[in-house]
Amino acid sequence: MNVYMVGIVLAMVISMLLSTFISRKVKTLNDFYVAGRQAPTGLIVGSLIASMLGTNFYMADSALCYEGAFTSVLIMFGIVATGYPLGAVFFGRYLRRSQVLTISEFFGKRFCSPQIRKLSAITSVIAMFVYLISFVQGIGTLMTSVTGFDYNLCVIVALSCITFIVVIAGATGVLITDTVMALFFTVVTVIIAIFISNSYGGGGSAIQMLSDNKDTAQLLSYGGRPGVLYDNGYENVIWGIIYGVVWMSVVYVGPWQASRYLMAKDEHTVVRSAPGATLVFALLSFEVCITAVFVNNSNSMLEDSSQVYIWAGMHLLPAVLGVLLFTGMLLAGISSVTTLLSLIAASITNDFCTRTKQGSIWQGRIVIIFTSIVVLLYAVFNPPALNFIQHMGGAVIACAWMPVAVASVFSKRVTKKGAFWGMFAGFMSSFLIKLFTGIAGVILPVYFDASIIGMICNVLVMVVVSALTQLTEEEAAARLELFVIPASERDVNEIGKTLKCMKWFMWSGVVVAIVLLAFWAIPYLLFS
Amino acid sequence: MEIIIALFLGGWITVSVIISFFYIKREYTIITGEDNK
Repeated sequence: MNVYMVGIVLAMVISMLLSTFISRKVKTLNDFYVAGRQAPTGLIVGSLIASMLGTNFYMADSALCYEGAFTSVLIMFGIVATGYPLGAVFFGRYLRRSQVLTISEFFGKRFCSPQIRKLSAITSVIAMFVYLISFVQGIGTLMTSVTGFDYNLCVIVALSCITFIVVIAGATGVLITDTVMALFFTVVTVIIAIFISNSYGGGGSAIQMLSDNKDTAQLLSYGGRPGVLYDNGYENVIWGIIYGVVWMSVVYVGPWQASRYLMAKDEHTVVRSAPGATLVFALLSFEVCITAVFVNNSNSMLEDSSQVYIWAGMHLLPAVLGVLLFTGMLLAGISSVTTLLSLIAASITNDFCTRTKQGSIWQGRIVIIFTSIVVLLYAVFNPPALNFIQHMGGAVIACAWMPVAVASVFSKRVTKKGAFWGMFAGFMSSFLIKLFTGIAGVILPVYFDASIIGMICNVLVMVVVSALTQLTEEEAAARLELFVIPASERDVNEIGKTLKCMKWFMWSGVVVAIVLLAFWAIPYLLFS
Repeated sequence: MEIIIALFLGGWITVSVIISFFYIKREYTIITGEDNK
């Protein structure tokens, strides 16, 4: 057993002990699926961050930055961050107000249609399943690289730990362990980023070293290194914007993000959690991305660029920091997988098998175990393809759900049939294009990305079918019901606190701009 | 271009928080107005 293994084993054991302790509080259906709807702001922020940022953050996204797509990824993350305030205010509050257990249930209730509930459940399970696989493969790759143990063994051990946490403690356990894990990997990431940049004499010197080397001089430029994504700098910027919108949609409505709002103790918690998540997400992603680029100063010839942080942990950091880094990366992965696993169980149990509610916790537990076995088999028999799979999951949610989610709140004209066929068209078009391009190895022009085509198809079909069908009084009433603010949300003191919180966080964009200017754009322009 | 991107990203975050703030403020103003009546 090497020193890195100690941290990984300890992290798993502590996570399981913590969830065992939390499981005593899990008694009702609400506790198991939506953490009793009692979560305070801190837990929602922690869970939003933890469920979004998995092992892939340190492997797939960092690999792109290391190779030369830094600015594209940075643009993507910057746009993604804005999904938090927009999603919380324009969707999350209405979602929580509807008192449902899953987002699919919300769609079904809003459009008075069991069919759209089933369709959204199918699309969400597919999207979460592929995303889950990419995270599990990421965890397996990380553990194998760090410990030297067999990949299959690592996947089995990690999935057993994850399944244990979700089965015994449900959403309550996931929410609390997620927050603890998010806190841990955020702090560790900051420490590692500072240490690595200081090892080159500070961020400015690290940028100067990159600029002085003709092989790495382009890495921090706006267009990046040609060929990593596209050959043209503008196409790379457009890629960042398109995928930023795609993943912003995931943050806005995606089951592993918006469902966190179902757990909030009130709507004020939903709103207050969003700006904090925006700031943490934006700064953390910048640190992880630019640190991955800095590693080029020590080694710009890594064979497998997804190992950039693993290589840095083993070669640039002292053992203690290496242990912290790998433990943080593992916890980032575990926290995402626990969320996805609990949501898949919630969706299958509540949206497909709506029998007696008393049996639902056990149904959920059985589904979790079954899903884990399927994921295990898939992860073992298929080679890791982190980037392709994770972007496929995001595209499916953005194309199938985003236009329907916006329409569910703000459109008076969209009918249940319009929403259903729009969702179907968005899902099928993006899924088939992604599948075709992935299998055939075809690269479409950036403007014809599957995500763009999928969203356009969704909107077009939704508008046309809605125009051809009649809106029922029941549907109109269901929409109006969303705008009835519960008495519990009308406390003037709470309203004042929420507005004050939002006012403070208006400065978050200024903070992000200053950080980007001071630690990237200006030093890069000075030294290039 | 790098400076424009940095300003764009910071600006976009600010704009999204401001849009959210004014939307929710409008709703809260209606609530407090109704409660005062």
